[in-house]
Amino acid sequence: MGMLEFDGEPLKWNEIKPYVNYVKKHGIIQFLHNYERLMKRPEDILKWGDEVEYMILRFDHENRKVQLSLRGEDISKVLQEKENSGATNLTSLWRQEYASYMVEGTPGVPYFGNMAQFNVVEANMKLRRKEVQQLLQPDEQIMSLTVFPRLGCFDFTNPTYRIEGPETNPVSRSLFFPDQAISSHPRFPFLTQNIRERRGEKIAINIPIFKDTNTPSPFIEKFNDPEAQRAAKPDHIYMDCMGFGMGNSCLQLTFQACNVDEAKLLYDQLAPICPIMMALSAAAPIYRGYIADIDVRWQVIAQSVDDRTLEERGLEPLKNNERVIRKSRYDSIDSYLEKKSKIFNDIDLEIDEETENTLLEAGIDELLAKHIAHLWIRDPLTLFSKKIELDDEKVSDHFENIQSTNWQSMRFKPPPPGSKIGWRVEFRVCEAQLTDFENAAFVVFVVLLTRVILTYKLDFLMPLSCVDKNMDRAQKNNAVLKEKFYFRRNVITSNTPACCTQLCSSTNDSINCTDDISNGLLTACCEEMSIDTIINGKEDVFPGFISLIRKYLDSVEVGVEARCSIREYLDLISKRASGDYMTAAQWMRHFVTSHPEYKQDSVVSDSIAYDLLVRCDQIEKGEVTCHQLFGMTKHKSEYIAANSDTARS
Amino acid sequence: MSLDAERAELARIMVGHCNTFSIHSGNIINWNMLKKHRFHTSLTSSDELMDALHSAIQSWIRGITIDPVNMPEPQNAINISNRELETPIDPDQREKLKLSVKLFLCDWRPNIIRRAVDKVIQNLDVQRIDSLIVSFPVMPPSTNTILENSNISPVAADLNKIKPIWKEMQSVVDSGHVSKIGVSDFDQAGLELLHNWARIKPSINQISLNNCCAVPTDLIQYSREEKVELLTHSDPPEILSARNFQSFMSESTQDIDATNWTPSFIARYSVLVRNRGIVHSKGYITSAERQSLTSNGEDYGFF
Repeated sequence: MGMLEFDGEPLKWNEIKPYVNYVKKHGIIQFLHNYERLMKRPEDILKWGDEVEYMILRFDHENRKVQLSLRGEDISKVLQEKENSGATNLTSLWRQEYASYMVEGTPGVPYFGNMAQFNVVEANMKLRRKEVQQLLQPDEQIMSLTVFPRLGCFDFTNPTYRIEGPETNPVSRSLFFPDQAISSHPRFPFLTQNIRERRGEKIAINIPIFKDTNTPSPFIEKFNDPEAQRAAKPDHIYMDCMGFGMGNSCLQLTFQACNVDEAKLLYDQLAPICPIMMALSAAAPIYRGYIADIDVRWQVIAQSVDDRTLEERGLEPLKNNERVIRKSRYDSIDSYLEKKSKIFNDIDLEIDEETENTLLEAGIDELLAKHIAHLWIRDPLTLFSKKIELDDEKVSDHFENIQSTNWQSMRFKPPPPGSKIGWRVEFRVCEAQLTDFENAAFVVFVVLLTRVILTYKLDFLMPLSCVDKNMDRAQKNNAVLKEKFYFRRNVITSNTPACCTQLCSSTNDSINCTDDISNGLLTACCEEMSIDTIINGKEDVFPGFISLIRKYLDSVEVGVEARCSIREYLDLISKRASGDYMTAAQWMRHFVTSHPEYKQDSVVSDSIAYDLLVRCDQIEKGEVTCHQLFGMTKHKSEYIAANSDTARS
Repeated sequence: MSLDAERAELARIMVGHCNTFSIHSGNIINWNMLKKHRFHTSLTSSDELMDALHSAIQSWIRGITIDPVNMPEPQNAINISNRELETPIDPDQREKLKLSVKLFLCDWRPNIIRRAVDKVIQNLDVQRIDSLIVSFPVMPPSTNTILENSNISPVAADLNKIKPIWKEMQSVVDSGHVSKIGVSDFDQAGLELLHNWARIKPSINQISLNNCCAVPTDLIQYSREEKVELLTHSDPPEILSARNFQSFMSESTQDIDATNWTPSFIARYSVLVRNRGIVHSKGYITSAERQSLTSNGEDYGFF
């Protein structure tokens, strides 16, 4: 989650309020100082890396119960010792995460642009897992689980904490999630509390429940708290704090682009890919011990950090706030950045006008200015008393403060001041997969896709309103097979602007997309396709990502080991898309609903969760093969190469 | 006669007169994608080459100028290049790019190596090729697979044919036109034989994708020890058969003497942007000769 250095006392929301404008204004000044330097950067090379979030689970085999072990924070301290002692060229780097049962690991050095790197990803993930496992007790397991199925249920943590009512947890006021499960670094509890206070009420997450034959209808829960009772919707699983979202794991990717223009291009082109990858990686069907009618964590996190007031959510007339805001600060992007993408920016973009003016006056281009001005409608949520007045030429803390609490599907990251790091974009939607093999497959697939986009100059742009529709669809139960997604009818360009003539119609070259767009027919470039078509292709419709990637691979030099691994990764993605393999979400549903103790009432009991997680662990360790999730792998990812110089030559 | 028909007729006569024909596809990286209906998983490099040939020759015919006063002279050798698809290599950017060539030999004449290298260098306007992989003419089907457990290596049997060609490979390195040289589809025994004999060792061995997850351990072991890079390809055993080339010639130029054409080499190049994993350009240069010289096509004056 970044931004963990601090100095002074953390401030509460009412103490931050007087500084909101100061932080915003100086965040922009910091950005502008940085930007002037940045435009002179020489061309950067491709570097990229993955981030996987893990949970520490504790298995009580005697009583068939699994809990989340709150030792993640201590463990990440041990994991960070090498880095803190100044060692470089490490195998891995570790960060503390929101929940004290989590750790986040990244490769110690970024990966580079040569093909051999694709054979190191999985080996490095395995090393990371091992590194954590060595620090665990015999009954503990590290797992890359997107959502813990009994999160927020009675006694779900170890040690356990009794919750009498909202007052038991002064930070979150949750009825389910003990404050002790929030990492103790001041950023996390203060973020939690300040979001709640800015919002003016407790977080309310309502997720539709999967209605089985014995599920009460309407499904209404009784809570010993009037605020919860009011906020909980019938037929929904109710959750009431940030931990239900930020306490989930995900798989993220960061790319360094060669310059600011390539970064913009990748940001734009990957945005329409987000919903597709989200549906393919779906791994989160169970919340608070109930089977949900969604497969993906996204809307849960979005609601879990929604700091908008009633006015901003449009539920009360504007009085104290400036504007109505459509989305949570955790959600899909609202504008493209490249000039040629502008025409597809068709959704309302709330902006902070003063910020926009400052940026435009400083010579920042219109779309980037709007993008930042949009991020700047959000207030800072954390602030430390000794980190308010800063040297705006040397640091970018205030910029990062707001930037890093805009949790969107893609993130556009300027180089940090005084660093060798270049312009980066972050791909943030994938769910964590159970095994390193699957995680590596998703990572390698997306990286290859970026190379394909840049090599063939493909164009995936579509109106952002269509991307948002896709984001909604991607979260549904079995979206990967059941839903259709808006997608470009023709992704081919001849290096021409987005709305060139030939790219819109394969059958009739005379149809001019520019005309369509100016006539308001933005969607003329898209049609609804299945994920199978998008990934595996369909004659006369779309070649499919897989064959585009294969085509690309035939034009570059790939070693036998790397190619063998890539082949199996592509095979996994291809079969997830075609339905030959299940997503983790569908497999978990299937496991639970066919469990002998399951009562067709949507409830995932402790013992069912235990059996499910034991099986997940066995699959991850390779003790049990699960042909529903993936086939037997033959490739040999290279352990030794993970941190050796030969791998990076 | 329409202009198009006139052009086609002129092309037919010009081709009819020539005995060597060389076709450069230009950069097919963007163009090839446009034909999405042909874009399916089973598309091989043979199909890709055939598409590239057709596109290049059509572009050539379209570009023929009809000027009754100033008719083009019939020539013995025709070199065409798809000018609509040129992606020149900027000399200032050359160090950031990696130019790799795979040379498919259609017969065993050693002098083809030099001719092919010259052609690539000329067409791409560069000084040097970074790596050159040679693929030897197709062998009988039973010896095509490196996985076969026969006692006599197919390459071993052919080492005497390979030697003169490899000498030419060494000579293009000596002359500074090529940096690294390699082979494709060699098994361990063959690789060892060549390696022991060669003055300049092969530093690459390209293995068919069909076998990349089952490369024999002796080959892996040996390659590691001798620092031979094992790369992958997905090319069919024969990328362009004489028959396919002949039907291409007769179809695209109406050449009546097409059956006497045989391809001598196909050079496939790809230009990679180092450190970024992006393909700058890719293309094919195909060179063919007409074998029978008894009839030298039609009398030009007839036109």
